[in-house]
Parts: sequence; C-alpha cells; structure tokens
Amino acid sequence: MNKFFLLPESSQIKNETDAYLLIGELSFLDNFINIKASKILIATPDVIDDKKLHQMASCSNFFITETDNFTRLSQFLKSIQIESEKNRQVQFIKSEIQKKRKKLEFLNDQLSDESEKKIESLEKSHIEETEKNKKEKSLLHFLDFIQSESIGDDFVESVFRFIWKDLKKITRLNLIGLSMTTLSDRSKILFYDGSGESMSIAGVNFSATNIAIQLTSVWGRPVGKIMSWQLPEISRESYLFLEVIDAQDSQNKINSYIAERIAILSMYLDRWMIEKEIEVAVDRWKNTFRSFSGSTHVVDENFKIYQSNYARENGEFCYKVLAQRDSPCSMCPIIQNRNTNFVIKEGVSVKTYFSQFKLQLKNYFFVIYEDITKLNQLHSHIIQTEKMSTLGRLGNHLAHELNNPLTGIKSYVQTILSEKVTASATLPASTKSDLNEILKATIRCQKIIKNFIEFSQKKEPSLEKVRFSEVLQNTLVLLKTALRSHRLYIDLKNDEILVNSHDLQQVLFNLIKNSCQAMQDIGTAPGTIKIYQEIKDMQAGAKILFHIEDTGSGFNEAILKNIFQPFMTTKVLGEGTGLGLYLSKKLLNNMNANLKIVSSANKGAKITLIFDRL
Amino acid sequence: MKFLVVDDEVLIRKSLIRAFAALGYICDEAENGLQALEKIKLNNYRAILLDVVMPNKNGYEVLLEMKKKTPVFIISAFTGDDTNIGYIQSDPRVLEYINKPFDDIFNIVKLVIDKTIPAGAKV
Repeated sequence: MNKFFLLPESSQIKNETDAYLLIGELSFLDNFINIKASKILIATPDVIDDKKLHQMASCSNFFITETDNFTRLSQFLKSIQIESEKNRQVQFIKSEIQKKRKKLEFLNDQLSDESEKKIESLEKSHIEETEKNKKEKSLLHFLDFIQSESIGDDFVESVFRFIWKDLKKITRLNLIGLSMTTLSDRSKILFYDGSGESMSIAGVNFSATNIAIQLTSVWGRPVGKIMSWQLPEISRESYLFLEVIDAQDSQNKINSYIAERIAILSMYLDRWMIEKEIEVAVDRWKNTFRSFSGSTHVVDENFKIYQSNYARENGEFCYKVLAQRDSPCSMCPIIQNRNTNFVIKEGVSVKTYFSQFKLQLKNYFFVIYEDITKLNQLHSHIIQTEKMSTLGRLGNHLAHELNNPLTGIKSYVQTILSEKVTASATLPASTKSDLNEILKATIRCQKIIKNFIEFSQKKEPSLEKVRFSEVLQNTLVLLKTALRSHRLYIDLKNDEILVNSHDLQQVLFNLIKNSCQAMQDIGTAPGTIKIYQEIKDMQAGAKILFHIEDTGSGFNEAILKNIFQPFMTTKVLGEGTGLGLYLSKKLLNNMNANLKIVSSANKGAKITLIFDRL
Repeated sequence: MKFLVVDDEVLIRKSLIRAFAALGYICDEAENGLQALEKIKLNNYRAILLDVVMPNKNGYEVLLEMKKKTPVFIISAFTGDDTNIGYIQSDPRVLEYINKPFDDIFNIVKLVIDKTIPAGAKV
C-alpha cells in the first residue's frame, strides 16, 4: 500500500480544527499525541495491531483505520463532520445562550437600576410632600396668627417674636428689624433681639449695599450678615431685615420663608403703620383743637355742636352752652357771615373767627371765640390810668396854685389876730372868733391840699401803731352834724393797728359820711350805724376786721361791681366827686390794708376794713 | 434899712408887711420879678423875701440879674421838680428856704430878722 501523509506542520496544527487526518508512521504520529482535535489515523495493516498505536488511540481521540478501508473512513469522516457540525451548533447555541444571558443580565441590571431610581424618586417626592405640608402648615399658622393678632401698639413686637420662633428652627438669628419712614419723614428702625423690642431713629439706606456698615454706625457695635427685603405694596419705603450668624447654609430657606410671607406681612404692617399714623394725626388734631385759647367748636347749620374744646352734652346747641341763650346770638358770625365782636354773655366779650366747610353734603362751621373781656378791661384800665395821671398832674398844679392865696389868707388872719397889729385897741371878741374860724378853715384847706399832693406823688405813708377807736373818735368829732340824726353803736377793744392815722381818718370820714348820706336818702331816719371788730385767720395771715354797718339805701349789684372805680357816684351831679371810695381804697392799700363792701339795694351796706393783726 | 417882699400873692405881701410892722420894721413890696429888680436897683434892702413862681421874671431870674449882695430868703412851695433849684441852692446870697404855706407868719419874720440884724441893732 502506498503511504501518503498529509502533513501539516506541527506548529500549524491547532486545537480548534475539528479533525486532522494524520497518516504516517507511529513515530510521526507520536508528535501529535497532545493535540486535542480528533485525529484520524490511517494505519497500514502491518502496524494496525501495534500496541503503542492502540495505546495512543485509547488515550486520545485517535481513530485508527486501515488504509484500504475507505468506507469506514468516509463514514468516520462523515461522523466527524456531523459531530463537528453538531459541535459547532452546540457551540453556537452555547454562545447564543451566553449572549442571551448577558443581555438578560444587562437588562436585569438596567431594570434594577431603574427600579432603584424609581424608589428613590418616590421616597424623595414623599419627603418633599412632607416638607411642603410642613411649610404649608407653618404658613397657615402664620396667617392664623397675623389675622388674629390685634393691630395694637405691640403688634410689631409680636410679629417679630413669631418670626423669630419660626426662623430659629432654620438658622441662628441675632436680630429681626423693620426700617420704615415715619410721618415726619424720619427713618425709624424697630428691632427685636429675642428678648424685647427696641427702637432707634436713624437714616439707613437699605437700597445701598453697605447696610451693615450703616447699622454699625447706628448701633455702635459690629453687625453680622444682614439680609433685607423691601416690603412690597406698602405706602412708604420699608424694609424687613435680619441679622443672621450662619447665613451660608440656610440662606435659601430663609429667603423662601420670608418670600412666602412678605406680601401678607407688608399688608398688615402697612395697616399697622397707617393706623399708627392715623392715631398720631388724630391725637395731634385733638391736641391742636384743645389748645385753642378761647372756646372753639365745629357746629352744623342748626348750631348743633359737632366737636368742641369745652365741656358739653351730646347734641347741644352752641348758643345754649356758650351764651346761655335759647336762640342763636344775633351777632353770631355764621348768621352775619363775617367775623364779629360781641358780648356773648354778661361780662364776657368775644371776638370770633369762623370758616365754613362741607362734609358729606352738609355744611359745617368752624368757629373760634377769643375772649377779649380782659383785653377790654385792660384797655379801659389804661384809659383810666391815663385819666388819673392827667388828673393827678392837674390836681398837683391846682394845689400849688391854691396854696399861694391860702398862705396869704392864713398869714393875714394871723397878723390881724396878733395883738400887736392893733396896738391901741383889741379886736371885738366876736370878730376874733370869726377870724379864728377862718384860720381853722385855712388850716384844713392846707391839710387837704397837702394830702392831695402827697397822694398824687404816691409817697409811702409813714405808718404808726394807733388804736382804731382813737382815730375813729377823732373822725367822729368832724362828723358831728352829719351824725346828729342817727344812732351809733361802737364796740371796739384791743384794736391796735399799724396805719397812717391821718389817712385812716380820711378814710373813716369818707365812709361814715357816705353811710350818713345813704341813710338820709331813704328818709327813714334815724338810721343806725354799727362799728365793730372781728378777728379772722385768712390765707394771708391773721387779720383784724373793722365793720361799719349802716341801714341806708345800700348799693345794687351793678354799682357794687364798679364801686371802687374812680368817678363812680350815686349822688346827684355836683354833690360827690365819685372819688371817695376809690381814694379810700387806695389809701388803705397804701397802708397794706384793704376795703370790702357787702350790700344789696335798700338793705344797707356793710363796709369792712381789713388790717394785719399785730 | 427896709426889707423887701417879692410875691405875686397880695395877701402874702400884705401879711408880711404887717407882721414886720408889728415888730417895728418897714417892709417894701414888689409883685413880680421885674418890679423887684427895679426896686433893688434903687434901694438898699436889708434882706429880700423872694418867691420863685411869679409872672414877669421869676425868682430865679431875679437872682440871676441882681448884682447886689443883699441876703435873700426864698419863700416858695417847693414841689421838688423845680429845675432851677440847683442854681438857687448854689447862690451864696440865699440864706434860707421858707416853705409855703407858712405855719406861723411871725416865726418867719422873726427868723428873717434874727439872720440879718445883729442882736444889738434890733428894735
């Protein structure tokens, strides 16, 4: 048999090859023993029984066949082919499976990833939901709080306290503040530091970037990180600000917290500010109204008082309260449609200023009544003083003019009375007594003139300790004629006072003479004069009072009111000067004493002289 | 030597003349300053009793224009507001101020005599 060998190089033989057909001698075949592929060995019959060959065949997949047995070989090759095909198929399926598995694994992985994500997002949304709920709850709480809080003085403080409590959960706060412009255009800062509300008045520009620096200079201390928000929808520029310690982490939370509330907060703060301003404005107006010096009111067209700075019942009429009348005053500025001057009630003169305004289609009048009574009094007092000073000058001049002839008369009488003038014969007794009367009269005239000059020169009277009764007795001598038809009762003791006895005598003379005349006037003589004393402790100290009571015509109220005015007289023209009581009071005042009169018409008068008690 | 009384009030002049006469002295009279100056020029008076407020030259003017060294007694109701009082006070001829109204005319006359006539020469 021909031997042929298909010889691949041993190095070319690879394991992957399905089968090799190896034909050769044993020694050659030995080289391939370790190759795992199926090998076909075509052996010659002479070696087919070789033990070694069989050994080889048994240890590996050698197929041994005879060289001439082609049928078998083709069968074998076929089987190898089939097997190899099978193997390939298996291999393919295996790889397919492998692929599919890998794909599956990948898909699986993907799936788990996806689900993980889903779970995560689910969890996240749950947290968000809770967070949102929490936020909403907190917001609602805030709304509840701000709605229920009364907008009073401590409104801002309680709002601050509320926000403080909320923000404490988010961050570390140092201060909550509110900067706003007040009515007077001043910038005011209200702030809360966790313990109490404080206020500073300072101009801080919150639209600038250096707020912290500005606040440092206001408070005089280092200021931390400032966050500020302008309050929207507020009548004037206002800012809410926080001084925070660790702003970095919580900034967003704080921002969103404030952002959610700032609109509502603004609204309420605006209301608070407006109410506060209204309060201030109303207060200011009320005070202004009250501070008008005269009576001031607002009345409607029917004179019903709408507002006033004086006490009154509701719905009263101005003429009733102010003028005590039952109908409007004829000189009312509203009726006259001009500012008027008039006597609104007895003893009270007013000057009016009025203006009209419309409110809800009704006319109202604003009227000020300036009390000019005192002004008028002062005016008449000035005129009176002027009058008196002219009179004084005139009197002074007159007194001097009179003094000259009086001196002549007196001196002449003195010379005539002197025996030496009529050396040869003495004057007849009757002439002498007449001359003496003239002399006495001139002396009295001189005294009167002297008093008048002293009075007009307002000299301080020299005071001396005298008994009232003593001066009275001296005076009564001068009034003998006037007193003749009346009864006189005197009850005086321990009546020493410090006076100028001459002035007192003048006063008593005036007073008793007046009384006598008053009693003469009613014609029911004899009248009675009682003179008695009383000791009284008054505010100004212990006083001794001397009363002179008469049963004369007395004074009516109108006269009594002006009784100490100069030129006031009840006597017929020419009978009295109207200076008696005026001068008496003046003289007494100069002696630190006073004069009072109590009287009513036809019921007599009680005149009281008041002196310091010694 | 006579005295001179200068006063516009006739009763004062007459009473002074009578009072001087009663004590044995003669007193001349003038009713205003002008008259007085003429009389002073013509006569040598022992003393002059001079009123201040008078028509036709007042007492102050008399003092100003009078050259003689005759002693002067001012008889006046001093009111305190006389503007010429300073001059009158500084005039060495003015011996005394006598206030009007007089308390007793004889005291006045006696004072004038005492001041101007030596004790031995009195009547």
